[in-house]
Amino acid sequence: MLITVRYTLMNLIRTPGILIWTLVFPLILSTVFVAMFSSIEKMAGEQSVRVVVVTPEQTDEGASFEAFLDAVGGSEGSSEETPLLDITYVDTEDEARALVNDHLQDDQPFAGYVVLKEGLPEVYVIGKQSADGMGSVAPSILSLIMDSYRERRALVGQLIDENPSALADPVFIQSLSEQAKVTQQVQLTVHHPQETIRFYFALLGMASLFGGSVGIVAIQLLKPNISSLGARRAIGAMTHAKTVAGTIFACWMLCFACLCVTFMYLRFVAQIDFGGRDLAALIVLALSSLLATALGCAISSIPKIPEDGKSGLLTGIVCFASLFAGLYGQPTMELADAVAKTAPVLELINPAAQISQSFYSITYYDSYEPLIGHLVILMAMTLVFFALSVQSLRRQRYASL
Amino acid sequence: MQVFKCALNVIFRNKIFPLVYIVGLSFMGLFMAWSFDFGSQSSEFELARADYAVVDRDQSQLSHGIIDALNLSGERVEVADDIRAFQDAVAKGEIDYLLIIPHGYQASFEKAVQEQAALPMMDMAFSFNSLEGRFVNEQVENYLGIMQSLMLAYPDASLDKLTTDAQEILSDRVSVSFIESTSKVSAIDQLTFYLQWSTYSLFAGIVVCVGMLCSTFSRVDVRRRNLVSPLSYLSYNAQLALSCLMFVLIAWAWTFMLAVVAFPAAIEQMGAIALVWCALSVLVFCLIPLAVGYLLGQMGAADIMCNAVGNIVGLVLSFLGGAWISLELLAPEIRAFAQWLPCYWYNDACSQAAHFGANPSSQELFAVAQDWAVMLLFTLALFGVSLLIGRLRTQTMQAGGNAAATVVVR
Repeated sequence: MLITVRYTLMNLIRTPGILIWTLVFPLILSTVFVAMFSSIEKMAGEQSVRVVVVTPEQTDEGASFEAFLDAVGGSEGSSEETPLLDITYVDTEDEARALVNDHLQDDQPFAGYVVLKEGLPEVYVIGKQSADGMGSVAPSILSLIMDSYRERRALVGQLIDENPSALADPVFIQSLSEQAKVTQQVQLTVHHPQETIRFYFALLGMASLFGGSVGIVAIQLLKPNISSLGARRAIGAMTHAKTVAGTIFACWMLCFACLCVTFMYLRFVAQIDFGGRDLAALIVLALSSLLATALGCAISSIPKIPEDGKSGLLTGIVCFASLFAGLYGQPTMELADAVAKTAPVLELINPAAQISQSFYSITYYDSYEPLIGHLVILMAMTLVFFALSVQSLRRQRYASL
Repeated sequence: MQVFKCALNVIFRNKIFPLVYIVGLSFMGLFMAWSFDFGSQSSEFELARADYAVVDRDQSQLSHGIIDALNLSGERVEVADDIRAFQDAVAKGEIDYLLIIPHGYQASFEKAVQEQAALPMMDMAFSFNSLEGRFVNEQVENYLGIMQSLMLAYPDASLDKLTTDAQEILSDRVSVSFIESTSKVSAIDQLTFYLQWSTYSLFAGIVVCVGMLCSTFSRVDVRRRNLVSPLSYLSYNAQLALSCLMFVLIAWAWTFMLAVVAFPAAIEQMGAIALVWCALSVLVFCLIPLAVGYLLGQMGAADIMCNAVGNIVGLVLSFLGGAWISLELLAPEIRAFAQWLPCYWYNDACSQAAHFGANPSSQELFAVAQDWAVMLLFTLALFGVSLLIGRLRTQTMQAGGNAAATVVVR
């Protein structure tokens, strides 16, 4: 049987199409993702809003506005590590408008500009920059901060009329000039949430399932009516059971090895962190590759479909499953989440979604319980696919070959 | 037209590929285009809406006031008071911001204000985007800052009155206007987004089907039988070319007609000239995967290879053309490299053509024609390489070419 394993491996490795789907495609897709997502991660990590402010006049109101901006903009003495506003001062409104327009194409454009008129700030913001909403919150943050200045000004006005003695209280003045610090950020998950990491999980799901092409080719090499090699093997001395077991084991080894290469590329080159649980990730990959082999065997056993069409069928199944695992962008990820909420049974029977969710569980949950649940489902699917392919894997009789 | 019919039969027998790539992926492109907001900028500024969750363990007037203050900032999403639910909510991006108001917070807050001590803290968590989280957090801190100020100014007032005063103060808004001509999105961009995305479906579908077709007809034994048949070589090749072209035209027509039906708002804004030039841009692009498929056929690539090349190369080309993410967001090196690939010129042609006015100037037309010329150069280059490879292949020993003759002579 070891000889069967060895020669099946050698045969499969020498089939160019196999390594393209199981190794080259995931590596290329990973590289594309890394290039694509690095800028998104950078934007997601941005903490400041760039704004232009027309330098206020040297009046009491101007000084008060500047003091407010200094507190928000994180000047000396501010307690904010990363100030919310990154302020650029200019002298005139025309200069402000020109500066904003000139930097519209920057990675992080100015959200707009502010000018103080009659003691109140007037805000001018940029229009919609993209359809996906990226950068749309910055003008709203600017508006919100200027609202807080106006609110405090209104409160002072109210107190001048109703309770002027309150304005003599230094604690009260301090409460007006500083933002109340009432929240502290906590991390609820093992790993900091990242929008793009789930696409890598979906990629691993797709890459795993494409390993089914290994199973399809390997089974074709077993069948006497498909290939001359299969015919020779059928009349060979080794029992059919051992031949099948050796072939499936070789497929599994090859799929798993290719997935490990992809995993290591993601882990060490793309710097994707799986919550520090690499061993658990490898276990998921081992089970995923077995599932893929079983899927390939099951597809190969479907009757009345030409052998050429089976790889197309696998491609269709994998693409469709990956759609509902959220691989093809944010809209499909939202669709996958919506389907998981409204019809959880569809997520249960989707192997790509289960593989993706396994990695999600490893990365974000502090307990291994959800992971074990997903692994049980993957194992059940594997057994179902092998059961479906039993007819194809059994020894057949032929009138003639 | 026996060869033509046979070729169409070959494509029909492998119909799973056009169904998955041309039909299936085009619907996926539609779905993605519909998912984004390509609506025109409204004239009135509206605050952004973020999704947030508040776990109110205090159930006090102060905590209810915080929740009311957050109403303006977006949609409140209900999240169970359970750590697993919290983890899912932030990790899946169901919410941008999660606030946990602890039990007894109102009492602690009032005591801290009276004693002029540091205010009690609440736990909060962001999801993916720090700015959106900070946007919601800013409103929480603003509201409590106002409440603190009011409590200090009116120490004897009831919490009811202070809450009402705070809400009145919070309703005061500054004047916000848009800077003219800074909006970059319109309904036409939705159509161009779909056409950009279609580079993947068209490239993969045409390469796979044409590649398989040409490979089938390029098999040595098949070619030998066809060469000795009474059908002239010219007629044979013309019928084969016609069948490939027919498939390309069907894929092109399907993709573009789907866009016309699915994006009526964009079609309404575009003129007839813009529509025609857009359609022709797509057709010119389709010739590139046709040439690639022919190249694969000349190389004798098996169906699995055609599938792999079509899918992988299509994916990479569409990404580098800006279909998956705007090129502006990519590194300058990647943008520079993208200009050496055909999808960049295709996207430029579609984008420019789609934004033609009713009477485009000759300069605008020439700019698009330049993009077509670049794409046609790619097509010709690939076609030239295909012919060379085909020629070399006929000289191999297997094909009975000169190499075989050399062996015999020895």
